Amino acid sequence: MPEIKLENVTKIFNNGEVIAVNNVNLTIPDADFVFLLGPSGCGKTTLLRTISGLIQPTQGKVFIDGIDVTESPPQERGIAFVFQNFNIFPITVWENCTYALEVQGYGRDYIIKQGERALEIVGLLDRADEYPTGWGNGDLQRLGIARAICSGARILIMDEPLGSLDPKISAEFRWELRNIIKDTNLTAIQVTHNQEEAMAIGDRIIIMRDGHLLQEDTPETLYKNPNSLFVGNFLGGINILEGYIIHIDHPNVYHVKIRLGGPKYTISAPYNRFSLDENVIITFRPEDVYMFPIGYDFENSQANWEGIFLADAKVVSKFHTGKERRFIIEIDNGDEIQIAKPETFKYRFSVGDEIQIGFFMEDVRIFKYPKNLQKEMDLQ
Amino acid sequence: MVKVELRNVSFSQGNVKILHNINLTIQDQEYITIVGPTGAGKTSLVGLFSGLYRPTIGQIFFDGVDVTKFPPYQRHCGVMFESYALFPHLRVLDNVCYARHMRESNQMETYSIGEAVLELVRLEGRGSALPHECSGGMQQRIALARAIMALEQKGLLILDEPFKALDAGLRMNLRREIKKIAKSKELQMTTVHVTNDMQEAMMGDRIVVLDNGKIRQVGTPQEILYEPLDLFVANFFSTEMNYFNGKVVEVREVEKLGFKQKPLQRVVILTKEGYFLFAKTEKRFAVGDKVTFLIRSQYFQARHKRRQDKTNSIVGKVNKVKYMGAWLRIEMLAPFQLENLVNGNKTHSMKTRSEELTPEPPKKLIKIEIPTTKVAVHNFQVGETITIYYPSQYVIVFSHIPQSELEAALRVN
Repeated sequence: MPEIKLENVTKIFNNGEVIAVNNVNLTIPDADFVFLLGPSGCGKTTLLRTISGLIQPTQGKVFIDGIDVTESPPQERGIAFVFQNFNIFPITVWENCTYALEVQGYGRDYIIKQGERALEIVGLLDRADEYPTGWGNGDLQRLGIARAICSGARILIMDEPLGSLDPKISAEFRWELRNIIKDTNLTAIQVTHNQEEAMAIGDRIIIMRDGHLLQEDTPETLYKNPNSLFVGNFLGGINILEGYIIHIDHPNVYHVKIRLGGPKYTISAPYNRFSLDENVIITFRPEDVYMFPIGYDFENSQANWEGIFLADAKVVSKFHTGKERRFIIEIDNGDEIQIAKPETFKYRFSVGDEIQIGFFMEDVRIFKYPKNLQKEMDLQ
Repeated sequence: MVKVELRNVSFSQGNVKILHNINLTIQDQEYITIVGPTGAGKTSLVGLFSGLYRPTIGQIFFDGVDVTKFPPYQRHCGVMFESYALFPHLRVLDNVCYARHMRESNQMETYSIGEAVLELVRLEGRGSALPHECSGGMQQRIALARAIMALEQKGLLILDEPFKALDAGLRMNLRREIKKIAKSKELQMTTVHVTNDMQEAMMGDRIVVLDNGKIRQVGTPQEILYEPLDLFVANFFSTEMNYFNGKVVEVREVEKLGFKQKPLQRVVILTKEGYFLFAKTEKRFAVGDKVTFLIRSQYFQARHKRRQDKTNSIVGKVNKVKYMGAWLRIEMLAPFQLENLVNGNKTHSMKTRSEELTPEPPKKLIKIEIPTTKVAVHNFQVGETITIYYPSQYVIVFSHIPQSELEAALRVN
């Protein structure tokens, strides 16, 4: 189904006072499930409205399947909406689902075909004659999605569709939502403030901030290779250490040695964007740090630890998140590092234990020291 | 700094029974989380602590004193609300000092205490800002400081869904921070923290699981995770759970194991799909008992190769794979091992291989999550045959729960 393309899209409000969307270029591939993420006020809702035709961009063009739709209203773009608060009418499930088609005067056969298909997909066909009054939020949203599918739209625009569900329920429902979207082959765009949800069920994620598109890619690339400290931190907790460049090898591969805190920790990584003595931020994910008891036999381990960088550490605190166990450890220079391990992790270290930690250079990302570190880390 | 006790507390509004016979003791300086789905009665329970509501039946004690009939202002409760409810026209310091200004005449002294509390929540020097000039995280700390200030260092700190309005990424750090502040030497608060998020509930010293007006379980995070009392608790504290119904075919007593406190029993279960699965459990079962067997998705490990030891593992085909960041989620379809079901009672030698079975045995959908770290095996493709297994002390075994009840508990509605 359709590919969506934005060319130099800018939206300015209040006579130039607010640049909500700033020169965004973007292609959303056909039949992809795409998420728009960013702190509040980043412009994601404005961008979504521009795509759906609820507002016109100040500059730039919107294409759907190569056709310029910049001036077209939503109904001519083949777009249907799914809302956070469902917007379900107090009429039967069937009437809710087929309402749009009835109003537009489609033929009986077509309406029945579309309605049955849509309700079948979300698993509500046998409840078509019920009134949704008193239904749970999960079922109401199933109906909201069925209504959007029934309309025959090719693009689904969803504004926090799981936002009014309990965390537990939304964590289960998200897989159902993804299955529905993938089964119908629709192109779907969803706005959310839940990074975990976007990472879990999105094919691609667009990250915005202050009206700019920061990075747009698959969850895997965004998670492993964020192009900025902000993106890395925004998509799940990250460990941040301060260091500086103490040595650069060249000519072909620049090998940078970074000093962390005191002289003890010197790590090497192939990077070429830095100059000598430059202050940098060194980041790695909590799950990419490994923990070993003192005296661990690396040679006779099942895993391949070749190339691991090791450091002495002490366990400062530990807690469960329900999904994993987390440890806070302290290295010699006083820096704290957070480590995530599966519940099934075989060592049960206690607070105060002396241990060794390790990480691989390939899991480490180095960024330029930002002008304002606190602002860069502020997720709001 | 207060010990709080609820004795046989029930609460109704009109004809609607909201809380049923709640018995709960919160120790001095304990950090308690109260968790449950929407409509469980969490906010009502908190209202009983703060004096906003009075119990229909039962008594409430603060440090042994019966406060059941005390109005809110005599109870020393500081409440921090979901929406923060800051006064927009007052400076940060005046927001923080508001309650005490109402009570005390010495403004200068109150201000100096207020500044000390702002320092505790790492807002030193921000006292003269207005709330809207502060970021969301800072506004939250202002609300926390105000709640702390209202307490005058004694009494109960109540946090009512304090992170609900925040991004998921922000919550994790703030959780640690807020608990650190409440437990700090200067404050040593007794704290009740209400949430509907199981991950957030895990930050409590103990967790109170509330459902439908009743306490399902009270326990440490470890007890709630590993020894849930019923299906509701087990399911609520899991991202995704796999369920198997079956019959115990072998039991053996084993020594206590690692993190488990009590001696364990090793149970071999033949599931209705024909898998032989092992569990090590603190409960006791006998051969022939019908049981329900639960494994959280992220407790499985997966391999491309079959294991030589075919016990305690399931072979199947990868049906779906999705990268989620720290975890890879796999849906696996595993054929029923029908031959085991036929021979299961006599022997459970693991000779059966899926290919030797009837042409198209029915399949079981199993959901697993695998870490995506460098040393973990996680390059699985759709269509591949994989073997999954799990450490048997991490499974949960209940007496048999009928299929219909399982399905009702699992359906999202």
